Amino acid sequence: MQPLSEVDYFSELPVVLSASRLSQPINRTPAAVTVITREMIEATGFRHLVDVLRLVPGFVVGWSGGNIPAAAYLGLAYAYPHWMQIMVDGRSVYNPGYGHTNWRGIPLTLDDVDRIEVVRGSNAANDGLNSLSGTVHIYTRHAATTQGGMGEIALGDKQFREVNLRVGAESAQGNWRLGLLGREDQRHGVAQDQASDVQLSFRGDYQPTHRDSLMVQAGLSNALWQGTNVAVRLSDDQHLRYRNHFAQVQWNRVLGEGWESSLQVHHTVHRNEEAMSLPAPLDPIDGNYRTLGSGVQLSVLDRSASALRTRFSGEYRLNKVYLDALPNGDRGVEDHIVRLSGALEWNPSPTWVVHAAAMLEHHDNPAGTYLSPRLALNWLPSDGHAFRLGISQGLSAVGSYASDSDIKTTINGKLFDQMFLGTGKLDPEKMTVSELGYLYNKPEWGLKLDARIFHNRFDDLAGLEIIAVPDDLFDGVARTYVNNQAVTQRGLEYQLMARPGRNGWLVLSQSWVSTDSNDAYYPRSAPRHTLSLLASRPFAGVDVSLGYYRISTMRWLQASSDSRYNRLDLRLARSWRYSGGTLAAALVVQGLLGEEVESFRFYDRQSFDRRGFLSLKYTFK
Amino acid sequence: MFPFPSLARLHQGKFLLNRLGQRARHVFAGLFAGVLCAGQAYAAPSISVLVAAPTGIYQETADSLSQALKREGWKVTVSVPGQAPPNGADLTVAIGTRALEAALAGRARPVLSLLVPQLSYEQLASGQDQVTALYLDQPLTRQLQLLGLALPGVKKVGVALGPDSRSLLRSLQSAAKSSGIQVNSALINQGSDLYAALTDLAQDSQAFMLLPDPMVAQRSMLHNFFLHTYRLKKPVLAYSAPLARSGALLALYSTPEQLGAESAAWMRESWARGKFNLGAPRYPERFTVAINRTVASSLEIELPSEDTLTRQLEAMQ
Repeated sequence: MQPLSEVDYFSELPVVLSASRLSQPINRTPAAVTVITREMIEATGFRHLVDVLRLVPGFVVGWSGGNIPAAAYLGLAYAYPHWMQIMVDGRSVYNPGYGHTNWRGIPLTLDDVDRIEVVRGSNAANDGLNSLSGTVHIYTRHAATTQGGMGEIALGDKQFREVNLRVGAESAQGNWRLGLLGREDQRHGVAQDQASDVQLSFRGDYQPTHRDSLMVQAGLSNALWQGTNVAVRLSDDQHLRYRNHFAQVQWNRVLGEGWESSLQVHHTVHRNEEAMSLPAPLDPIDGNYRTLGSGVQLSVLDRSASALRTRFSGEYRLNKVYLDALPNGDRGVEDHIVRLSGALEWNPSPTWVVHAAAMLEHHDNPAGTYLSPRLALNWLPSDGHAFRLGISQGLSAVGSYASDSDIKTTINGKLFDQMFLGTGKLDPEKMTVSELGYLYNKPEWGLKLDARIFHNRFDDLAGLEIIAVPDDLFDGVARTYVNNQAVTQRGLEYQLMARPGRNGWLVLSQSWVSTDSNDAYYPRSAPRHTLSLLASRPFAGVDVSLGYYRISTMRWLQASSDSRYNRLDLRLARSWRYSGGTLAAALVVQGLLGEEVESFRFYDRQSFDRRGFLSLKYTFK
Repeated sequence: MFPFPSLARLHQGKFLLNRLGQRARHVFAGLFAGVLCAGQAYAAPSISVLVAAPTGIYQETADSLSQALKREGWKVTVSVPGQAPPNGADLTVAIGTRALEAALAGRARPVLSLLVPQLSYEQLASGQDQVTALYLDQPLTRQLQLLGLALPGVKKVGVALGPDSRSLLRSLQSAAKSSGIQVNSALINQGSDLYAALTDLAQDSQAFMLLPDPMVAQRSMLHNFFLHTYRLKKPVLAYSAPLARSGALLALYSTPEQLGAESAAWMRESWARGKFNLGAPRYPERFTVAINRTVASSLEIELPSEDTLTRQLEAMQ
């Protein structure tokens, strides 16, 4: 190779670790943040993104019908949780029609993920409505880090098959990668769980100048799942085709050291085609819907001064839902959203940090202007110790489906059974979080502790109510959602990370929560205790990882029986250099002891039994 | 004989005057000759400065050097490769790799190389008579000393070396001894090995040092390098200001102005008896420290100011 010349010493380079790419130290953040690294993701042996959230204190993950996952923080959720905002590289993947996230349909493989940051407690001051109980920020790998090719095949019992291909290269001013995933599985080993996905994803990272970087992403997901994606299941063989595609461009400009602007434009489409078979003489109905979400966001981040750091953001977003069950749903129900948000971090001295943030947003649906504020104070009295006191308020829109839809069966156009009738008057749900956090960091021991006690107050929660429908020939009633419930939660949670030796590490998380409500279903829906432990260490060239996940008995809202898990997973992995690349083999056995029982509204007592799979992956430059 | 003693005295006086005049002429002639001789030994030398390009860093270095030398009355002529250099220059100063190549291709000697990295210089001119350099690079000991000053907790530092910089291994170990910071090195044969090498090094290193190795530090690898070292939560010491802006926590380097001024001082010291005695290539003594405060803050590292670190490091030299 040619040695470097003086030009290489003096010419400007792209700013790789720009302010937006650098995370704040956790002891100075205004909220509790759990970071899941790539190393942790690999050690779990999980094949689905949503399962990784089991590592977060207080999180519970379940699979409705085996192929529609639900993840909720501190329970209080049904099969379509809508209190958590999910962002992939700053783009919301939230489904505005149903107010939840189609985890399985996000065109994103675990191999693409660089890290996941989970903000626990309301993050609406940053991310707006629907980040009521937090935000999951997923960051994918920069295209420069995935150069060359990768091919992986994984096979296991319960009909599990997965093929993962990736190619990446360097171009004139940047890097790109293209990934393809094909996957088929049955979570509970029964035909009604059968699900298959094909996903294609692209990411390009370009540096037109040393101050500018451009990230371009596009992806599509085409899935065939048994079950229902619209919470109406009329037969065992009901199935759906789910499609999701998106495009996103993000332009970052470094304005100075620690000071940068970001302009993001994105467009996302969700499409659900769900046939429902009804016996004659009922008229046919379907669960088809389509949502479009487009947005443009401009942010300016200024961390150039150590005393005062700021972030300001303005966003316009249009969500459009096409759902026959909605009034005017065939023409699309629109929600024009305008958002302004700002955050200040004031460091009056090295031991104190004051945070103030707020989001002001206007929506057409639910119509109104909403404010979500947050205040936090960090005290760092000595090396390694930090305390955080915070209060925040957040709001959540329950989605057009719950607020406005009209779901019924008819005979020759005449009402037979009014199953659901939206009132069109649902207000956003509200949450106020007060918390006291303690963080301890001892790098020389490889030790980090992040603990907090919290008090969550939920108001105006949407609860199901039965209303009379005189024209209903079947039962004379229908279900509807009204803002009639309140919940209070008090709890303690912590995460401990330890890296005692050169190679081994462990992550232990626990939470205890007590829930009170005017509705008996809510306390039962929050697991009083959750625990996860992930440990990894190499032995004689083999990476051995153990994952243990436990939640106490809980019942998802609208389910008729309990869910719980007490599960031990083992992963053995080894890699070899082969023909200029790396060959990696992994054996994963899940559910080594105990059981995982899941129950949702239409799927009673499904059991996740012991299973295993083998994967073989070849990576080359 | 003179009949009158006065006349005789007068004659004698004239004679004496003549003698004195002759002596004075001899003395003046001698003095003049001496001055002339001294003029040949100490006259301002002529310097031919060859710049790779008459712009940017090359011009900055040349300007800094010219200003310092012209103040002493030295004659400095600047040209670019391809132009005819002045005849009879006492020294050719080649600024930049392209200029060094052109100077080596010519016959004019001696040659002083400026702004050329050590690895490039050694490949082009190592062992050549009457050719020397003020390297662009900083001495390894100084780099480790800076790490020790800025990050007192760092006792072990990781360095990835490609095939072209393996020759630095011995110097690294010797710098480690003199600085008291252990250097863990990993040798890589191809760019794709970097990720694994950094991961391994991170197990037993508290920081990384990025050296100007053509495999490790090539532009296309920097994203990988900084993203991965950041993921490992390890600070990086690098060798240039753009690297500090890109993602290194610290950088130690010399600016073109510093190199120009330092080379001028070296030339002045080395000019004796009508010729230059520059000696072996050397590292610069003047340097600059840069800190990326955004990276420092994210890695939770408190650092003194650049000025404080520079002063402390200067005191150690």
